[in-house]
Amino acid sequence: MIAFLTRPLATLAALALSAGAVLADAAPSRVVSMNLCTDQIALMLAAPGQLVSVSDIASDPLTSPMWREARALPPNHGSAEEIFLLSPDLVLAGVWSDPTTVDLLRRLGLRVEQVPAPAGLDDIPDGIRRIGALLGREAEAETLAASFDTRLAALRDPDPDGPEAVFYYPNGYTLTPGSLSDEVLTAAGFRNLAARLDIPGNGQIALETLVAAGPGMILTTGRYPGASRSEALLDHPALRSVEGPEGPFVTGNEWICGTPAILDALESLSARRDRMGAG
Amino acid sequence: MSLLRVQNLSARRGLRAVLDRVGFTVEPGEVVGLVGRNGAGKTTLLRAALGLLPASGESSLAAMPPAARARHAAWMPQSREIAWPVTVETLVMLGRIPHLAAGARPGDADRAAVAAALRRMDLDDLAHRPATELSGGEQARALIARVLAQDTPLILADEPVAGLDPGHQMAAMEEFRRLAAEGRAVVVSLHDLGLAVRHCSRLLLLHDGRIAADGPPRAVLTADNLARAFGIAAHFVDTARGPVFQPLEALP
Amino acid sequence: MRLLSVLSVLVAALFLLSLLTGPAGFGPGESLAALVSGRGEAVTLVMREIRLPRAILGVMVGASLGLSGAALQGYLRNPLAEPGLIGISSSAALGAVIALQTGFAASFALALPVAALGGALFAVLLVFALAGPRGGSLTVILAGIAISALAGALLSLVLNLSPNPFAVSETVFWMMGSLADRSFTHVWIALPFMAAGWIALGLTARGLDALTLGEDAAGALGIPLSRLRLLAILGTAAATGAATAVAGAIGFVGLVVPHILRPFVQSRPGALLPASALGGAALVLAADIAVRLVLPDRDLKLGVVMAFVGAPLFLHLIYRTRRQMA
Repeated sequence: MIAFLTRPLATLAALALSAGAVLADAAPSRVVSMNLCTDQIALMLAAPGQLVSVSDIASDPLTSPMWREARALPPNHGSAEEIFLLSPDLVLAGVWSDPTTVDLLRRLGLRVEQVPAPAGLDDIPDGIRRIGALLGREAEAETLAASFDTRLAALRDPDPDGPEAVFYYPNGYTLTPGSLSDEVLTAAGFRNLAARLDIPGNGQIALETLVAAGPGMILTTGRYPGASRSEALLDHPALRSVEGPEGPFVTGNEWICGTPAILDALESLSARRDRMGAG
Repeated sequence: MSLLRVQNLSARRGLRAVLDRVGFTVEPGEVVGLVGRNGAGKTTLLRAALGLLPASGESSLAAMPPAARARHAAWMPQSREIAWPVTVETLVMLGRIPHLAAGARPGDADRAAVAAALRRMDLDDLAHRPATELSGGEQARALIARVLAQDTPLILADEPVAGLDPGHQMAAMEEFRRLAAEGRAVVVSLHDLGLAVRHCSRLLLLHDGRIAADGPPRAVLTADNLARAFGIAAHFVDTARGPVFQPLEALP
Repeated sequence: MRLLSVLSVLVAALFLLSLLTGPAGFGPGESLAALVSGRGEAVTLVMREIRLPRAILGVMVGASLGLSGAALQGYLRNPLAEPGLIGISSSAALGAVIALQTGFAASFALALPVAALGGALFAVLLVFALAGPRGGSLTVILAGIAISALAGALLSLVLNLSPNPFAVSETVFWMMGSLADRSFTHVWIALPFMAAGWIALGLTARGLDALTLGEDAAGALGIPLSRLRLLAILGTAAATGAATAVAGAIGFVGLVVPHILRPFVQSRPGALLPASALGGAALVLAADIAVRLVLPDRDLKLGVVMAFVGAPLFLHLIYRTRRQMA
């Protein structure tokens, strides 16, 4: 029984080890990404055929700005078994990817690189360069990083007297200073209400606290199919009177990761800011 | 005018006929004792006459609309159910429900009827005790009082005196006689033939779902009928202090 | 009558206190002035659109549950019968969740409470069918356990199958209940069904009194038994269903309130109905104030608070039932 189980496993492990040894120095030729954010940068940088699979949520329009590109590739669901069977020579994961999966993949001899999420807008180019280096696509990465810097410099327009805005997500969660989204908000010339109310790290804001504070704009998420009470909160009639003439600003899939797409978010938010006039 | 007229009343339980074409009438002033062995159909007859279970044939009570029937006949079931620890007085007041208009609260007449019923059943001292805390016999008296408070021309009672002490058994039967003397009528089922003989003006002997005999106690409880319907022999004499009936032995 | 006055004053006081409880921290005078005569500023909005519907729903939900509990107990002549314990609330929650996840709830304004009522009705009919008219303690509780377990499992299945990532975490809301951030929309969709339920249950008062003597005696007292049964079933389903549709399944209200108030009405089942409605309103308002004061940031569920009060009482009642059976 034990032999029956271990023999194929050992064979597979040996196979993977030899593959890894041969290709260690060359650019990886079979890359699997198992994290939504590394998925997108890898999709932008990888050579044709180099990327063999991205995570399944990368093809969900609600979470991924590159869902069309992602749909061209087979999805993975982040399980060690299916990733191993793709026999990649590089696995891109996030720092928060399931540690048991990452450990198991490493024990099976795969090269797993965990790429940290950028802490702020200014860290995004380095993140791009890091993935570029891992893929052996340094030149492409440099071009992308440089254009990001240029575009960010043109869009960034903070305003200490700008209107107040607040993130109001399902279950009343809000985003606070220190988050990437907060940086986008302030870069567009808004002030985050959560900063004034001193809400601790990405905590909840009570509906009536929000209504009483009366921000100039509410940022909220798009809706998932099906129904949930968590999202139903965003329909509360009391919100209608504080969300401003244009209604809530819906933060789309480009807000989720620190990729160049976040500049699209900044751009449309800046446009809203301009329409609102002086704070 | 008779208070109850029953004709051709039949009822079944499954395939078995529990009542088979029973007919009788009850006139004002009568205390009718319904006697018969276990399973003879006494309870079924009373319930079918009231329209509380499906039956074929005719019953003047079952034909009445429920509200009118409740003002014409009071019913005391055999199971002495008191679901909540209400006071005896509250329990007896339930008998006034048929006399209250929709949504109305009990008035002076209702309270007077309840007080009279309590006194008749010797319950004045227990009036404010929770009925569920009384002894079985006391509960039976409270439930008889409830029936009295309903103040109807006709009373049907299923073994109302079972479990009462002898004194209260007599008192209850006396009460029924007094009600009959007022021009009402009472139909009671009984197992104590001695009580039946002394207090009932007429007996209905039920045997296998049919009326085997109907008439004055003396005419009904013949040695022949007793042997056939109960399987017993008894001593039955008229004395200066009324008829005395004593079962003697079960016949082989 | 005096009991009802005392309870009314209590409900009014708790209603006021509920209006004054919340994280926004307005002064009592300011809050009430804004409620009555405000003109659109933030405090008015908070009072009128957030706290007022919450307090009103507290009264409506509490009254519905208290009344349903008292009526069920009166009808089944069993002090353990309660919409939450015998699975009516969880079946109503199941109905509501199915309606929400299939989109039926969005098809017309009252679809959500209709679906909850359907779920509740199913459970009431099942309990009545299983337990029989006399509703022996054991059968009622066993039927309730089975129905609760099934409805709870189906509820979490439906939420698990939902394409919405938030839905699955909401089992807690549906099984424990909360009034947090409800709006007038919820008041308006629940009110017609609750009002119908209250009327139906109110009409059972005299019948329930008569049932103290058993079905046979009640029938002979002129009580139309099948009509009484219909009113009890529909009234409970409508009131509990609507309450669950907007606030989730809040257990124990219908158990605790009639139990506490029964001695004050000399155990008369009919008189217990209005008293339990008011008592239920007071209890749910008090619990809803407590969840906001004890853990203001956590949306503590009402059912949790109710279970702390209700479960020990339930155990006590079971113990007493055992002694009576012995």
